[in-house]
Amino acid sequence: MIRVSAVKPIAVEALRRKCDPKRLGFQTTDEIEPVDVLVAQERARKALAFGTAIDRPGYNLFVIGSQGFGRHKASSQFLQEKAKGEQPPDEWVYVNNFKAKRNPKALRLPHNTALPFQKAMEALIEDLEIAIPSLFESDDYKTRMQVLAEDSQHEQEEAFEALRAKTEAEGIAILKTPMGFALAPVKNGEVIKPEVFRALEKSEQERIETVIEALQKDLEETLQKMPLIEKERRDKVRELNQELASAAIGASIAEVAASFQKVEPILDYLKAAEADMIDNIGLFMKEEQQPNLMALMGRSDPEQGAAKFRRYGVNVIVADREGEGAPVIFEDHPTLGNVLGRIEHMSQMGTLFTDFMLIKPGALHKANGGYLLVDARRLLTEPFVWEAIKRTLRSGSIRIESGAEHLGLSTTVSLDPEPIPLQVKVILIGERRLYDLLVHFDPDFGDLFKVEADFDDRWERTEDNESQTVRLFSSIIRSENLLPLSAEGAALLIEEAARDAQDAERLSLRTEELCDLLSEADYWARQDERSIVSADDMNCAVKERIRRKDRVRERMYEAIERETMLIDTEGSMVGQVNGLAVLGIGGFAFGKPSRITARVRMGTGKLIDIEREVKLGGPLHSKGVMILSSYLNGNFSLDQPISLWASLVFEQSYGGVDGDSASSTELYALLSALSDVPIKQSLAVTGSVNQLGQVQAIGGVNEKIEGFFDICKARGLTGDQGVLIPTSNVKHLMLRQDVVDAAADGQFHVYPVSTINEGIELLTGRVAGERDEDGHYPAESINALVEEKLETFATRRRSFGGDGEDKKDG
Amino acid sequence: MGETEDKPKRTPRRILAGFGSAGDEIRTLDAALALARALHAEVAGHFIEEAGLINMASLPFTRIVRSHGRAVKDVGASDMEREITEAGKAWRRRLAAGARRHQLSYSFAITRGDYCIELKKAASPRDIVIVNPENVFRSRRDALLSALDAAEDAAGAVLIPRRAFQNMGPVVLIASEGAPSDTALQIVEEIAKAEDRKVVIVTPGGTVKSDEEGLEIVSFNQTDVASAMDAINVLQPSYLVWQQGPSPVLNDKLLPLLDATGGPLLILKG
Repeated sequence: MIRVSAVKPIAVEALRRKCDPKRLGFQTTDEIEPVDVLVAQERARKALAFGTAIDRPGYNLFVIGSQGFGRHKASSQFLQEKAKGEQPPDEWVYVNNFKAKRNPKALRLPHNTALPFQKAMEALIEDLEIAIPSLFESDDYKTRMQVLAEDSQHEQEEAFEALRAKTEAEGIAILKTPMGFALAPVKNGEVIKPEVFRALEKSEQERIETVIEALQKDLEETLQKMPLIEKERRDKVRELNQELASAAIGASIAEVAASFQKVEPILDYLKAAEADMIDNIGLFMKEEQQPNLMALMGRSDPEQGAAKFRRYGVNVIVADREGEGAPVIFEDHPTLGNVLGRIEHMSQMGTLFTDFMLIKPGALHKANGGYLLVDARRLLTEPFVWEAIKRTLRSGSIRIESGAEHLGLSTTVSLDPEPIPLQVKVILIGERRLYDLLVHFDPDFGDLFKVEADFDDRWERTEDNESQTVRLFSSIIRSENLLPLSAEGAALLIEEAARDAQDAERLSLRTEELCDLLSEADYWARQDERSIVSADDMNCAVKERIRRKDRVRERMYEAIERETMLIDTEGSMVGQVNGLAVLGIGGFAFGKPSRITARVRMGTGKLIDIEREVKLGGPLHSKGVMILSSYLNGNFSLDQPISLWASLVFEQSYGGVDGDSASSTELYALLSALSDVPIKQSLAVTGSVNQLGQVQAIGGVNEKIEGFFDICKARGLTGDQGVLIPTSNVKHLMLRQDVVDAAADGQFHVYPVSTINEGIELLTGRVAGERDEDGHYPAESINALVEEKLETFATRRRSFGGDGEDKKDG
Repeated sequence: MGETEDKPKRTPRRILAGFGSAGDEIRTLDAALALARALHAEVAGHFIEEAGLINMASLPFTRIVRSHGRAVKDVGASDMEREITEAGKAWRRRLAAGARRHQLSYSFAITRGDYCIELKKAASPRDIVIVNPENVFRSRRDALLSALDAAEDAAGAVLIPRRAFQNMGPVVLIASEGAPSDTALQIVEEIAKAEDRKVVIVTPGGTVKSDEEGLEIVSFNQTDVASAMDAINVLQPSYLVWQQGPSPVLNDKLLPLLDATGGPLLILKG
């Protein structure tokens, strides 16, 4: 029963929805006003506005969106704009805690105060370094020091001379030895020799020993006094130094304090610094160069002088931000140290040393009072950072932690700086999957990141939105310093945006990808020394991009052309259909035709999916195949069991197969095999099917059509070739221009198919057939032939085993 | 004072530094190196292993009291021998390092006996002897006199002061009984030049032969030694060079000058 199908090829204009350059209303993008990058992201914009405005704990943001949709740029621009109008935050410095060195003090200072304060302290130390030694070199000071030294020496000598007189009266001398002092009997100014002593009367010897024993006690007492006298002198010297220094230091400190009159933290610090300087006045004195280990090693130590005044340094943690308003910081490398700050160490003669001047700020310090943007994936892959950020947000203060301490690896003495109060909005940027995982598996996440800003991946392709999209790209063109785009080029860009969205009625918002295309078109325009990017440049960019990426596709098509992979594009075959799959390799997707075959025989109603049997088929593919069984059960041999054994296979498929987009194709192969009616090999098919026989939409329709077109074109277009696609995919068509041109010339066709009956009629040229009032399909129709074959199988099966079930297939 | 052809040629000199066993001789070393540098002289270290200390250690009841007075230790002759030997080696090492640092030629000798006697034996007329009176076990005054005896055969002696306090004043030459000798003037000139100091001459009279303009000369009455001492006290000399006169009485009176200055006292024969 031959019939010409009622299904007509899709009109050429529906194969690629064009954008009319004239309607855009400009010659080049230079003429149009740029727009905000968030123009197409109204939902995200409102979420950002809300999340950044609400001043409540836990209202941090998670920007959800896929890679390449300009989430970072859009969020950053939004925040920059918002931050401009906000008050600049306070500045922070770390200074020495003179009472507890391990706990440096954090000072909160008004805007534009930290650096002047740092400089003032440096100048103060420089001044004192000169002023104090000159004070101590004055004649007055020297005289007073000499008096103290002489008094002390005199006191020591008096004590010693008194003892000496006492010993001499007893004929005993005090001798100084390398080990200390000793008493010895003397005669004529010389120590009595041992043999002389032994020759003395026993009584005399005993007398000398007794006397020496008594004098030794006096000697001990006298010597014990010496350190006390020396200590007394040192105390007096210290008092003198402090008396002299306090006047000079006080005056200089007062001068610094006058510059920061209303800054209480600085005034408090200056008081503490003044007291410390007076206590440690020796630091300012010029000391004779003591030979140290460095000197012995023949090295000079130029830092030695500066190092002793580090204790009065000011470590500016946050100050002098570029620009105005609140800070917006993007932390690209969110390690624990980069986010929370770190305490560095210096190596000095083989030992590690640190102090408050080695505290380095992290992104949270820099963003304090503003906004911190972090890529969620990078943050979560860095050890300890996620937990540290949560702790910091919960506590509202930045406490510097070290990863080594977490692991118990650090054995050096470190610091515990005073935590800095934190007021920041953290904006995490990540993909939806990451967001969902955090929501499900981290109970803290919901409490700390209460606002999600969900970036859309596409928007409706209205005329207004087309114009807005062009304006959006014009702003990117300007910010990236690209050549202006002609109206024709812009129209092509719109069409590429629709193609990227895989939908003629939608525009992709994958701005980074499209921006790359613009950059590449700009390159080609500059290569040709043009000042405007034309449609040709855009086409060239698209073509070259594909050319760079299509080596694998080329090899695959080559295999088909050389008939290594068997795909027919002419003739007819029973149980054999051209299916279409999409392969994605390195961000490049292309269609790959595949031969799908079906074989049938009598059996127990089992449909063998060979892909599933060998575990090359995914669950969605298996689902599609099982639907075929349902379709057969629902449409044929309604009053008897299906006694069919059938196998389906993707020929020469050695990778996995998933998705149900080939289910209609498999059904066509099955129907062909059951009806023994051959299928035209000039056609390829895509589309999933439900158990009612309706053909449903699939993805990658453009690539699939183009894939088959490329094979046909390589072999020579016959005018009979084409692709069957689900009718519901027509709106997604944004085919390549060469495919559209071939269709316009009647060389290639795209057929919209809504049902299996429509499809099988196109593929076989035979009527599919509808059941009449008696429940019979028209004779010679495809469905009648299928049903006849199934009934034959059922009858033969009964003849084998009565009503009993076959135990074994085949 | 610039050099003139009339002046005597610089005679080769040696600085003989007497190191004793008593302990800290750092000022002896410093003074020897400074003077050798100023006078472009060789420095000869002489360490005397004090026999008296070994004798003392051989006595049955000898105990050492540490300098802070808290630890008391029994010692024997062998302990003392060892300590003294070690001290000798240490001072040899230090002198060698100092001489190398200042590019001076040096020698070092060790003998055993009495500090003054051994030093006197080692001294020659071309030497200036550095004496530390702390090594002499007598009263301070006797110690000073004994130290001077040690330098009897030398060109002069430097007495190490008790204090390490460094004065910044001029080099003062005190010629106790008449005009300063050419040798004394030459020495003063060289020290002053090396130390970048002024020269002040304190003299009871006589003529100073000098081309140097602005040379400060302070006169004093021989019967009023106190006025000379007052002048020296005011000047706070960094180096006091004393040219001894023939009168033992006056010499004796001037001896306390050692206490009047923080710097070394260089005593030259008249």
